[in-house]
Amino acid sequence: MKKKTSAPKSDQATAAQADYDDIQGLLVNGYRGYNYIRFLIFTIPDANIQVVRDLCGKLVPGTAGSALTISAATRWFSKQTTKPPYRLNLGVTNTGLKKLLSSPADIRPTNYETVYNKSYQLMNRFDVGAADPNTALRVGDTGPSAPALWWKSAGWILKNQDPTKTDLDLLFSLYAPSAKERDKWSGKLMKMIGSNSAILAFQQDSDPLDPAGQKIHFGYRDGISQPRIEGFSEADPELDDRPKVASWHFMIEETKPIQPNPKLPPPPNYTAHPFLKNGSFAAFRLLAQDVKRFEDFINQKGPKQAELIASKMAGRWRDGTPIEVSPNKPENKHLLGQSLLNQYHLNNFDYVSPAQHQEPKPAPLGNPDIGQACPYGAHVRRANPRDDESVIGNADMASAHRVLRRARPYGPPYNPKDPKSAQQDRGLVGLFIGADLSNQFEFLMNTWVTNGHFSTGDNSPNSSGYDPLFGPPPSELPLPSSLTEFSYCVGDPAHPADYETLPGLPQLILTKGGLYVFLPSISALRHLSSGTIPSVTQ
Amino acid sequence: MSTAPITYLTTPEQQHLLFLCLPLKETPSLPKPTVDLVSALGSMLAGKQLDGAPTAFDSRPATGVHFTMSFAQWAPGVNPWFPAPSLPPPFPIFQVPPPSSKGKRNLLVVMAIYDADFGPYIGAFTNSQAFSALLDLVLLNLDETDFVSDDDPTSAVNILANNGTYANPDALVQLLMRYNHADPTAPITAIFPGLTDTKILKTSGGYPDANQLWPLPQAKIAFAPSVPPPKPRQPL
Repeated sequence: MKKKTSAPKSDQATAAQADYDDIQGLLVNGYRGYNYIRFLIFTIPDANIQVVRDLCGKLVPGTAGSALTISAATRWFSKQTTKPPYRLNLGVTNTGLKKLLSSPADIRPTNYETVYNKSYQLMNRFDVGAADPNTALRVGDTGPSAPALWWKSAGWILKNQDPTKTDLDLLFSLYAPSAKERDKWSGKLMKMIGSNSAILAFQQDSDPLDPAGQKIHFGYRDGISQPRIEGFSEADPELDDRPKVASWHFMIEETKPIQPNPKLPPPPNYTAHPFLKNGSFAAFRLLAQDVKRFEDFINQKGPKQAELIASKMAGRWRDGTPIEVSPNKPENKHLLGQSLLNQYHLNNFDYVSPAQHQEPKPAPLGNPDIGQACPYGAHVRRANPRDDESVIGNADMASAHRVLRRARPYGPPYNPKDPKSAQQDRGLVGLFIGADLSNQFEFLMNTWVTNGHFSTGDNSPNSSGYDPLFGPPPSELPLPSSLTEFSYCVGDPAHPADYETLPGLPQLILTKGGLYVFLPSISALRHLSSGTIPSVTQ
Repeated sequence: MSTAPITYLTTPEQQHLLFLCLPLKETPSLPKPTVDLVSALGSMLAGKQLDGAPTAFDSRPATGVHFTMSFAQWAPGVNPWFPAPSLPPPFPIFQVPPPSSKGKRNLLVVMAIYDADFGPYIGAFTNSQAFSALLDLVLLNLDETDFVSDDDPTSAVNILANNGTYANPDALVQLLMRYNHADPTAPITAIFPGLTDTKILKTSGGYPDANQLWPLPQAKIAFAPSVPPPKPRQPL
């Protein structure tokens, strides 16, 4: 198994200031500290398209007289000391983009079609959308997660309209440091949009479950492992062992002619119209989490085993400690209590051989070639198999399939003492970002999350079945035990008797809403204000 | 410990058939690049390191290919690389595609059996620049005239004009589905259902010594002669 080289002293490619100015802030920053979030989804009546174009113009950063503007990445680059009072980002769905880039009926192709035809790899999944039956099948949105059942929660505002027959065109993500500030800026935004423009269809707030805004309802600390984007990383390259992921996986690059050359880093595996440059695509997901079912499942062997089972399901202890480096107990306090170096320990680990700065070094269970402290089936391992090239589709430290997660909890905390609490709606809401929905978000969900049998190294009895934090959806066919159980190794991975198998893995996450959105660059936002697109330069 | 019989197969455990009938440009003889690329694709599937490729990479679990075969309907007197018998059947095996407005066409038939879904199967090829370069050569020899507009994002012409199959994996999937005569969602009737490449090559618990028996790159194999069946009887 080949090993990656150590991290260089500095990122060779550093993004230019102009790129930061042109990129929406959400692409390079998770906005920690802005833990009160409001997601607002609008529909654009055909009669109001020009008004919404005008709105796009007012949202361009620096526009005089605008109450709010879209947050570019600029501030985070120039290290200004004054924190902005809010962060605002915009996503546009396929229907929204078709409207904003529409042309008079006799002019073909429309600007949307021109962009689509030049950017087929990036646009074809976006164009069919998240609710398309084939998309739903691919990402596991079946049964009670099927698109026909989406948007039925309390957040649906257009009570007299069928959600599945309503164009959901625009998605605003508003981040604020407090609930009061969120209400204040949300009010200003709604006033700015006005009553004869886009119409609010759905609204969902996200409030933090802990002061730091790090926990999710299953009790895990979240948001630890994000891709290290080449040229945009703020991490210390001396200590950060995460492999650099080419920025074009997240910030779309305009197409250039390529010649295959194995001696050079791979070029973008897509072509893109310049309208898409510095933008990205994302899957917006509203995911309900059944905390009671989760707690019942991990407690089936008693409370002493519950935390171990929870760690095996996720690949991290609930405080964030990777079980690959600390298989027997959470070590987060110890890790974080030492020198500056240790903040990287939450991410400095691999599965086949230790990362350069991995501390403490793992005490292998059984076969040292197979890092079975963390099961193949564990959520973080299947979402990012790191150096394990026995996993199908992973020849590059998983770089080709990484996604940026910008999701936070919604709904009240679960209270096990209150019988009514289990019935309350709670879960995770936010964006899963990647330039290529097909090769990133959909690949991840299809090949690694919802399917087992993805590794030649995996000898668990159920070949990793289904991601245990999602749990298999109900099926018309009787499911085999391999899909309804969770296995983890407690000895030698080669011996079937050394696996602990927990039956009755329930479905723990339901999809209650989904959109594919384009996150336009600031340049593209200007174009949207006039319904135009830049010309292709040859 | 007793083992229960297999009664359910997840999608990655199923095998599917690829049955492509690709319309080729008509040329008086087999273009050498076409011959070379088919053998090169076969070699790559078997793990051969191509010139310039960084390492030999085991693509077998990702592609899930169990079997592949190609056949070309070409000009009379040109030997196809399909193992055709010395005595052909008294009727054509495959029809060449109808002529286009530009002229006659030839035919390339590709059959394969692979694990899992069609998208990941094709994606395993296009993820590699070396594989993609070979697939580009296939597209270069296609004649899609009258079947699809050159402006269509999934046409061979458009794919090649936009950085080839490496940069257009989804378009390639749809191009191939235009000519795939097999239903990629219909599992084939396998004799050993669920026996995937991944299971065969498992580091433990797979086929005994699989990686020594079928190493990368593949060892040169000598084939002992097969016994031909009796020739058809002549009329008395």
